Amino acid sequence: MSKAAPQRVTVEVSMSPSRVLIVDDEKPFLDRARSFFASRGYDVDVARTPELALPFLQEHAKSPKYRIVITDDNFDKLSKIKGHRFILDNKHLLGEAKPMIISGAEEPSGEILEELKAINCEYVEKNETLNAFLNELTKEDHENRNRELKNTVKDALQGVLPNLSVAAGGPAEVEDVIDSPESYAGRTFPEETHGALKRMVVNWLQSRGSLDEPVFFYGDHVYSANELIKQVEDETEIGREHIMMLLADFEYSQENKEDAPPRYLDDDDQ
Amino acid sequence: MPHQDTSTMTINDGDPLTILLCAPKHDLLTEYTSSLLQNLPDLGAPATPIVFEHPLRYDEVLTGLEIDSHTTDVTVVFCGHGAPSALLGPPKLRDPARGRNSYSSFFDISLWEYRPKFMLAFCCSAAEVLGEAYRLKSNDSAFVGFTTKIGIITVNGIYADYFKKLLHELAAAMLRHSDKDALEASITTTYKEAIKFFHKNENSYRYARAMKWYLLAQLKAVKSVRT
Repeated sequence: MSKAAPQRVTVEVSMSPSRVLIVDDEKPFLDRARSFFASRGYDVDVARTPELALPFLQEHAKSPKYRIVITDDNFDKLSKIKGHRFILDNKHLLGEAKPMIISGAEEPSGEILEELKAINCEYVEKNETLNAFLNELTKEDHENRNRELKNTVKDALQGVLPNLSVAAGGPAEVEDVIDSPESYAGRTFPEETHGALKRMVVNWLQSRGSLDEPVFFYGDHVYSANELIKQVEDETEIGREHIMMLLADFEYSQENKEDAPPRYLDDDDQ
Repeated sequence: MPHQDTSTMTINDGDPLTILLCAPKHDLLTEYTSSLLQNLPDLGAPATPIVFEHPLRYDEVLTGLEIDSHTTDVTVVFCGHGAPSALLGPPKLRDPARGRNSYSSFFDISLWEYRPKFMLAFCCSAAEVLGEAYRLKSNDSAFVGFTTKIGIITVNGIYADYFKKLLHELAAAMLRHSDKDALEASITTTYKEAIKFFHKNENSYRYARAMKWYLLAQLKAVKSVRT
């Protein structure tokens, strides 16, 4: 048993926003785009003209909230300001938000296209291509968000938990498990996550010491750590059941965060 | 059969109650599980330990102790190996390589007429068939067991302490609650408290994490019957 009094450690993880600003004068498109992004977990702000969108961008400059800013290029009778002008004139307000312009009848000049390219602004046509592009955009953003989350969580944990690599089997394993939270929750997950969980079980068993002492009774046999490791590595029925137990462990931990144990390992533990 | 003194005490509307703590002892697991029944806290009636190293049938226990199961309410707390339709005893022949089929049967459906009124089967799988038999064919009885195989950390100290606590609280709940929902809720609470302990102390005990895994799996597999 640990000699030191356990300490409670709180790790705060702050994430960048997942909000989108859409500027378009066509209400049907606004509704369609709003549903598209909302279904992928984004919060959405909308504006019918660049003038109405400007306060949103000014607010964003003070307190970043948008990951993507999409604007139509033409606003017909509602505004004389072109979408590309709105973006370029206010590029200093964009921060980390990715701009995107949906093209109208007239394409901007080559010079303007170059300026837009310089700020990583996509220019796409409003047709079937748009849907495909939005899918690609959100997929890329989703991957970016995931990468950001993993790095943020890893950095936060590594700073506080020097023994994390021993407890979890290494940063790669933590990363793999975080990578597919939706799959993990549904109990089907990509091969790389399954592999990571398997490694985590093996690493935990290896870290227990007394590898040949039979202590794990399961089914009708008492396994030593080494024997159980073999079961897990060979993915026998017993081995797979222990991998699923680790999954249940994670679910339990997620649901009971207030009871999280102090995350350290004591060499003298019982 | 192993000789044990026995006595009965009257509870529950005057019906005598006898508690039998039954544990085979013939391999690594049962060496450990038989020790869990030693010095079990009071269950409200005298409890007789029945530890056996050779094949033994439940009806033989009753005969040896001169218990008439038709006039005495018997509670069996069993700890050892189990199968879907049987509580298992030591192998008929001493050959561990022969596997599960070599185990003798301590209690199974063939002894149904002698069945205990209350049965806690702390072993693999017995709830699957035996438990179902209690649900369908018994009256004013209770059964607690598991529908699948279960895991145990066979280490003394905190792990054994908690398994003893579990055994005691499951048995006490079975005797205390005549309502099946109350019995189920009590069992769930007992497990959740144990799981919480090993979760919070995961880094204080070497096998705490595996203990948590096994307890979570047991909670999922536990089945209680109250007729």
